[in-house]
Amino acid sequence: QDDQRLWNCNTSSSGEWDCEVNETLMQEAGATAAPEARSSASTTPSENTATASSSQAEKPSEPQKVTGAAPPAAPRPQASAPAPASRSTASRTETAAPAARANESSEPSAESTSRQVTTQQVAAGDRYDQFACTVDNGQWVCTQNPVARSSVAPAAGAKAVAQNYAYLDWYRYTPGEEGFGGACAGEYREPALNLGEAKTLEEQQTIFLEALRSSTVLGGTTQLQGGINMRQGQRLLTSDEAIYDAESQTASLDGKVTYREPGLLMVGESARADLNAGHTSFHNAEYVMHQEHLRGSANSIERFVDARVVMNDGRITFCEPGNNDWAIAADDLEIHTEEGYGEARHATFEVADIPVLYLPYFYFPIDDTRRSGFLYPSVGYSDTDGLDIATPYYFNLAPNYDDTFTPRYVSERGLVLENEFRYMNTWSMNTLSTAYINDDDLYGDSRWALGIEHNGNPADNWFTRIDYRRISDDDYLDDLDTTNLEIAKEDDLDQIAMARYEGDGWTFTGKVHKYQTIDGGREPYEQVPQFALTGQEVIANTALFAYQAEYTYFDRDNDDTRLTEEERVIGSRFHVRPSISYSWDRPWASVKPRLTYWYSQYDLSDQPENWSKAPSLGIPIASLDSTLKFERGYGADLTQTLEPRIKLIHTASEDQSEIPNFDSERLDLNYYNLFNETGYSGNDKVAGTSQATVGLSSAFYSQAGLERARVGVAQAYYFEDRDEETGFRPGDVDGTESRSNLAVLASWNITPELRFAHDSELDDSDNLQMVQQNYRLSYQPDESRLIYLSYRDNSGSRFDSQRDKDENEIRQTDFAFRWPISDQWGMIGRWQEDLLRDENIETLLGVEYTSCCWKIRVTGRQWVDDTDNIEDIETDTGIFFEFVLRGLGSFGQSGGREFLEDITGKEEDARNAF
Amino acid sequence: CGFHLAGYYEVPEELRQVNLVIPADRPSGVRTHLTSLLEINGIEITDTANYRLEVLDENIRRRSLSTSIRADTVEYELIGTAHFSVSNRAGELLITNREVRAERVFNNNENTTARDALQSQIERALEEQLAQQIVRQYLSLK
Amino acid sequence: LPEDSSQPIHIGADSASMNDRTGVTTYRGDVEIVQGTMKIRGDQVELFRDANGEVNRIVSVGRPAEFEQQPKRDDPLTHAYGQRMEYLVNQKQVTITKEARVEQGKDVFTGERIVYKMDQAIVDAFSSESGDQRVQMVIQPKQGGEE
Repeated sequence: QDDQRLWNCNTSSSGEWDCEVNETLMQEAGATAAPEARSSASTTPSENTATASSSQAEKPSEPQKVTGAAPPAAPRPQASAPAPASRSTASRTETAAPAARANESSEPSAESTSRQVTTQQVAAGDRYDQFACTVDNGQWVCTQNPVARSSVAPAAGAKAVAQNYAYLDWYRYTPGEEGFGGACAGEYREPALNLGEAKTLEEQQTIFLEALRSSTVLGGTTQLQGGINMRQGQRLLTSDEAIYDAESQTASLDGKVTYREPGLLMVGESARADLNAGHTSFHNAEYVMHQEHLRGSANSIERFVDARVVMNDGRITFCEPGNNDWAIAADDLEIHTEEGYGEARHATFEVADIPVLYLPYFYFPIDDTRRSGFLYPSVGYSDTDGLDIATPYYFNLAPNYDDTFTPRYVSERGLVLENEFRYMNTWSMNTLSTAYINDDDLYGDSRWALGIEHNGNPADNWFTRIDYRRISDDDYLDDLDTTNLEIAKEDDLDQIAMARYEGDGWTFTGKVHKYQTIDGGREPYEQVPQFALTGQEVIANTALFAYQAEYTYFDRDNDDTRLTEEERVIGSRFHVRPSISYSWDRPWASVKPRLTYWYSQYDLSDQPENWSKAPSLGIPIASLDSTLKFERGYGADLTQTLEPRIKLIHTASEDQSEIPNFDSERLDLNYYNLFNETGYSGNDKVAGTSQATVGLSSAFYSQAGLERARVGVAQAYYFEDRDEETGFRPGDVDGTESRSNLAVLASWNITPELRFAHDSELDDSDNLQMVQQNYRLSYQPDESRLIYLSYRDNSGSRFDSQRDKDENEIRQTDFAFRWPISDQWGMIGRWQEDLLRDENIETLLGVEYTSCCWKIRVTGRQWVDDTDNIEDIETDTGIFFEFVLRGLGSFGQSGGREFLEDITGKEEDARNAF
Repeated sequence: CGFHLAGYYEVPEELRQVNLVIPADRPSGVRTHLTSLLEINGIEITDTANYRLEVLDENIRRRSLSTSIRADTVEYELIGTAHFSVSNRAGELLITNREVRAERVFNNNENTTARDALQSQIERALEEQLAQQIVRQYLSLK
Repeated sequence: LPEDSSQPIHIGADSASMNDRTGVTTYRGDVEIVQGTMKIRGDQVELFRDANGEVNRIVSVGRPAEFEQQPKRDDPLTHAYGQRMEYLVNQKQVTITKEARVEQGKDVFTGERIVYKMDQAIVDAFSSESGDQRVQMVIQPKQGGEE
């Protein structure tokens, strides 16, 4: 053995990796980095000390042939860099295990199969104390020599140097690792314990013992000393001393005992293990469950064969080692790892080691398997409703159906009982949600709400859907369901039952669509029922025959006095719209003539006297859509296209003044609608016209055909006038205009995350003044960051009536953001302002603090309430708190954070994600 | 200014056949448009093709874009998104789970029936736009 | 068995030589020594005698040398293997060194050095000073009562 190396290790076949430090050389080599005095705390190096000097002083040397029974020695560990013995800065490099080496055991023991020692990266963090690694039957198991960690509690006051919790399998992230800089400073890393899959039950039971010295009374007790490993099946026990009684197959271990099995680590002073019954009990121990990210301590822990862990005088927390922000201490604490829940009796909930809450019994989930029980309460406060506390209870009734019952107390209103029943079968998903308040103090009567949702696929190509909502009074949702953004702004609740069949190139839909009007307005026409068939066929690869056929019966409560005479009409309509088009496509041009026959036939009742009972409207439509395509290279890798387009549209002009207006409305003026052939939505009206819509658009494509940017402008040139009876085109004022306003459309994906969009209408008769202009910028680099800016202004456009102008004229900004300020702090905010009326529509500010095992969110929100008269504007303000305890769940109301999902379309990261 | 008529672009031979795969347990709006557009672009849809175009999901969601001071929606926005992948016979992915997106804005309307009719009309247009983007990106595979 | 030591010793070997001065008899080549239930095998076995000619020490070397005995009436046979064995007859103690291995029923003990005290049926195992050859034991589960 040459001695100039600072330390040398030899690894025996079935022995351990043992290193001796060459003390003298250590001093000289340490001269480069001033070797801090070795703190007295570290004991004299015991037999298998593996302290090595700091890495700077020594470069990895070539593999060294070591005499003795050991096989060719392993190449020295590349970079072993435990910090110098004293506890100054913790060095950051990882210790690499000895490189892989074939291990032909030279000792022909029958029992040791040829063991292939696999390399295994154990990031040992800073390893300034003794570290015993043993190679045991194919697995390199390193246990911290516990002597060095006697002083566990970090020095109070000054943030102690990062305590080394490797003994709890907790390793700090090093820069560059994925989790670095996140809410958690490190993670639990379980050493790969692939102790060989013991297949047969007998192999499961075999006990492998290993020690430095043993003394056995044959058939009786065995005493073991020094670096003991005791393995049975997937369980591994290590300690300094142990006594094993073969008779009763029990072992008692003392001195730095660790117990390992996949997913569980227990470390303590002493332990008793009944290897036959699979029952291990620890005294004065700490434990870690890696998957569940939970740890704790107890003065006694028992691990039963059914995977239950029972502790008395135990503590449990999901916080990382060294962080006692919150914990549950209990006289009796039981964790059912198989079923995934824990129970604590005589428990106190502690925050920063201060008991805050006593609970005689506390049940908590430790993973997300479905289990009946209380979900966590939500608490909120708002001016009008006062305190709002809901405590949902979850019934896990069966694998395919469950129920959540939520009694909710609203201080100003009373007790609301809400319930949601979910049922799933092989072909459908169904939800029944109900709510009932017996006596709403503010409303003065009982109120209720009902919701049925169904989505099904009963047979191949058949799809069914039901979306039925009904509430007792118009304001129910505004008063009692404020955070559901989608419904809150509805005027009419949908009540739809629909079946749809998707054939090959055609689709048939049958539906009944009713509404419940909740804004006090007039009831819309209901389609009871509607049958629609749409399809298209390609003929000879160039022609396209498309068709629409629809039968609908329109009904409404027509004795509402507010309805005009024409609006009281009800009846059935049969509509058919066949069209044939031809596509002449070349890469540089496309010409598409299309002929359409548009026909509606009515069978009316309650129509005005001068109307016929069975009017019909047949309108031929002809269009010729031709585009020239130019392109050129643009910049390094983009292709820019320039596409002048002209679409000639000729539609017969028919008097439609005596035709009911069931589902037709004029289209607004925008780029797309100028090219529309009918000018109306629905199937009641077609604008008679003879026009040419001219457009010019340019787009930028990447190599992969991704549209990076597009800008387009369009304008319609009219060859004949239009009038009210024969239908107005989009943008028409009195129908005598010869040119429409210009419609501009632009979008630019500056980067995949940063998107800009603009559309506007330019006044043709007033040197292109902007009549309408809308801008939007959205930046969404990742899950946790968002900036959204929108400005919409239609104040220049023409409104049908003063009421229309009051309701729909807007000049509005909408600014929303979500941004992390630091690893722990995050902000969200929204500010929606109506600039015309200088009114604030919604202001929200939320602050979020995230640590490794808890989050707190405080959200302040002010929003306009849905009132029906225009004069007074009602606003409501609220403060919402939400606590999220890692592993346990969340308490409190989100308080309107749903706008994030509304904007991004993605679920906000799960509340319990850490 | 450098613009020239778009050059003739020949669809590579092996791309001329494609196996179009769309999940059958959910309604699909892009299906009809995709089938017609592929055929019009001279691409035959057959299970034996050595390219596979799979529409992983499609969704059109509506959100209120602007709100009146009485908390009524003034303008709605429809956002259509779909994800698709293209793989060859060996299963190698040429396009992996790529998103295509199209948006339209339309005004809310007192006549809810007409607004719903307009919404479904725009949804058909968005589905066609999504199909066009998918086909254009498929054709740009060299 | 306890009464083994009073049994006659039978020795078989390829060759034997006696050193008068030291009183040591050395047997070589497939040596087998039997005394009651005890058997010692090895490539070379040396018998040492005390002052009055009684065999008090047997040293057996082999690749590996073997030792076998039935400690008590109903106990299973104990087998021991190792490169060198030293049997102190009076103390009824066998010391096995260099990859020592003792099998008792289905339980197996290995180590660098094992001391087997026959009368008390105690097996003490030690790992090498450098610790690279540790003591190992494989203990099979008990199927109900003793085998």
